[in-house]
Amino acid sequence: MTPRRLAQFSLLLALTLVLSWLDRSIPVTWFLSGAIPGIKLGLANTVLLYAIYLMDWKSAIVLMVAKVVLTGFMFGSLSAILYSLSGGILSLAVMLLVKRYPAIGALVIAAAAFASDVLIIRRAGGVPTGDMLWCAVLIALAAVSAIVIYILLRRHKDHEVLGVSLAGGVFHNVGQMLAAAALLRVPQLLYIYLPVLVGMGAVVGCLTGIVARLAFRALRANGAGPRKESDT
Amino acid sequence: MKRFFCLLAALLLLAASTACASVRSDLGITVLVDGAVCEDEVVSPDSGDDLRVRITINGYLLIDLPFSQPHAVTVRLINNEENVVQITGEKVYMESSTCDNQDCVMMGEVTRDNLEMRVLGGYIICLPHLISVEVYSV
Repeated sequence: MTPRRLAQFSLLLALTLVLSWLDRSIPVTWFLSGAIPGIKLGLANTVLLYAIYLMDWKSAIVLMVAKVVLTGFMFGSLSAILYSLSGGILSLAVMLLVKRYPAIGALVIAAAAFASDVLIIRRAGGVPTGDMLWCAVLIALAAVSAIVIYILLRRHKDHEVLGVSLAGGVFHNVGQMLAAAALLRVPQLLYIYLPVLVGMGAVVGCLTGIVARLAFRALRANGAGPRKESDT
Repeated sequence: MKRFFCLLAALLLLAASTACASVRSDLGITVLVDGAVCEDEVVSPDSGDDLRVRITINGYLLIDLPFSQPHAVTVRLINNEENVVQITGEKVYMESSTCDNQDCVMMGEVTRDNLEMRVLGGYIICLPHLISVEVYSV
């Protein structure tokens, strides 16, 4: 590890910690957490995106683990570390996958969207599961979203961050929910609350992606951002 | 190479904290219902009610009560952490909790009417203490 690398890494880590502190003190989350418990803006994810694009995947993993453990000790409790680590690992894995193989990534996102659609509709009690027409409509919707995401990821390199961030947001929530359901041993949580969190994760992931894109653009103007043609 | 050692150390730390978190919730739990301690015994007076309230910690059943009779249940953990669940007969809510994110207190109340429409269904969950309160129909 060269000194330059070390300096870069510690700067990013410090930035992550500051951003997670900011996350906790933004009043938006206070309003919303009454209606949707556990929602968070996830600004620290922008730094992770930056690490994925600017450094290699190993550094991104170390940065994520360091961030989770340190924020857990600074702001949260031990169990908070568990939840965010499980979310972090899953989201980072999916983000790397989406960046490397856009087609598979789009399929994974579409599958998550499809599953949450089915769960929402089942919970609303509207449609019996065996209804072929509804299944076909849902599969068509999922396929359309997969194609849109794929085009977004493939055609416009500039928008790639957005898709990656969206996947990260969704799967962070999925991972946290899996950990919570496993620790509490309440598997019903998965089909009651997961669809809501998948939707919220997509929205918040998009917001984070926009922030990251703005940051990348500003950095690139100064010659410090990630290279245009992304090499892994 | 060094990076991987760093990662390994972090993961070990994490495994230790996992163990701490799960042990903490399983040992030394006291449940007080309206001030009286009940140990190793599930209180479930039969009332012919269609809704019941079940409080579990880490998946283990602590207590199972009818929805329509007022009770205050205090769950006290080993390190003086405690959650107070109020069952008023009309609604169930987490009155107070000593956890760091007050999500369970902010989740609001479960009533007969919002059981289906609530975001979390009939659940009130305290993630740091692994406590779940579930309103379910028999």
